[in-house]
Amino acid sequence: MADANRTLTQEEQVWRLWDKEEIKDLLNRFAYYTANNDRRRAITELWVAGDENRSTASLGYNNGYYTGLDNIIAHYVVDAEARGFEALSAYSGVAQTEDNLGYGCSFVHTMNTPYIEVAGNGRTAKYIGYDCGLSCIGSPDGSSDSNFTFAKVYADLIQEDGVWKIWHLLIAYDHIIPAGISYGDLDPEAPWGADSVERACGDPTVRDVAYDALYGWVDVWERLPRPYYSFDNAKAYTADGKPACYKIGLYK
Amino acid sequence: MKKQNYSKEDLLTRWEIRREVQNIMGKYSQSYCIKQEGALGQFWSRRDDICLGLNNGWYVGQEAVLGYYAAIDAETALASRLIAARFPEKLAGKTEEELFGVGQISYRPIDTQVVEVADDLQSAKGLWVVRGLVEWVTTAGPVSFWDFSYWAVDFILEDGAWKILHMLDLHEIDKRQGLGLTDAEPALPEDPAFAEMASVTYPAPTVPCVLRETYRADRAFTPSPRLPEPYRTLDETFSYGMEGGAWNG
Repeated sequence: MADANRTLTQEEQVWRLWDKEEIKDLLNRFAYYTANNDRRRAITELWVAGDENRSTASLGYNNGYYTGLDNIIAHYVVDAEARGFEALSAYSGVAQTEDNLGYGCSFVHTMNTPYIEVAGNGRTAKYIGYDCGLSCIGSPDGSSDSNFTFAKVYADLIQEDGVWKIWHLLIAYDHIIPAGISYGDLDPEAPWGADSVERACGDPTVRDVAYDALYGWVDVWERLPRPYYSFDNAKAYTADGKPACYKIGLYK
Repeated sequence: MKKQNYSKEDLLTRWEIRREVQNIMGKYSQSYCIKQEGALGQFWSRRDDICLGLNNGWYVGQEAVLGYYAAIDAETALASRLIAARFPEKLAGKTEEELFGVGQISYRPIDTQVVEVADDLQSAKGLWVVRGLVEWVTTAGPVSFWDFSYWAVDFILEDGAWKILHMLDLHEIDKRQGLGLTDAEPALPEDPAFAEMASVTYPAPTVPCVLRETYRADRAFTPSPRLPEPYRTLDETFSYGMEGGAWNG
């Protein structure tokens, strides 16, 4: 651990400063690419590409984790495209082509309030941000299923050839709330829109309670990035990284 | 860009430019919040080819861009006077300056920035999401709207200071609160105290055109403006100006 106490050179300190800029840029681009239906590009440009990192890549939601980049692509790209065609099929007068995917839809994703810790050894980093977004699926009658979406976004980043890449991502929805309704009418046992969350999360490779919005106050504290020297799988934003919510029995 | 290819001095210079242009847009956003839209001209270049793109077209040149901000300012002044008259028990005795912006808010916070600085360090580009709420004083009185927008900006270095050359301010959602995002907006009962708001007009864009339609259930999918990419000089990349074609992906 002698390296852990080493004073960084000036050049290394500047790189750390720049690392945080690159990591914010990486996650922000992920938000735009996702909202723009540029999902293949997001995988190609922003996610890990090395064989070992691909196999350990993870995309988590409230209800579990997609593990390995192939499963992530199947959900994040292929299933999303299938859902897009399903939504498009309602519009019989619109050509059912890839160019028309997203017709009648609006998606906005954001990344705000970023907090980043770069590992002491500089090889990985941990990130938390917040996505206050929008998801609207239209219908031919002019109406839409319009929702405000609120999710914490946790990420483990890793450098490949000196470039930061998304390795593990955990999107923990707090709420998916319809626009234009009285919030007093929501189910008090599931005010966050449990059905909408389940639809957004799909059917992950590893089914687990990765996040329960009822206990967000515990989860955030446990999962906040903290200064660290090297990556620890037990604290990863993956199925292996269990916060205290499990240990004290909140997550079942 | 790979940081390993740059000296620490170069990286710090670029970091400071990124910080500076983000600060400019932070101040731009805060100016909305405190109803000082009339002061937004200070963030712009003095060049006469500046342009501001809104959903309904381009404001081109100093006179048009500053005229647009002046129109917001005039609307704020009128609304302030009418609110003061409507609530005399709370607002009597205050000066016109103290009343300016009373009862109004244009909360347009920004996040999700993607910024690129040119290799020649003479320009920069940025894209942001606005996720706010705006309260307009209408002939029915104050009414609140959801605001989801994109800000896409070209900056240039002018006499040692970073200034806006082109800006897109494009609404994706501009919808009265309390309604679904594709619901019709039923008329609200008129309040005679605010009837004078019907006189508010805005100068037409220099080049009227549809840069972006706000969300509807029969709208083609409309992505964000194009994301900034690494580039050498402003002449060698796309722009967020009229000729740039970057307002729609």
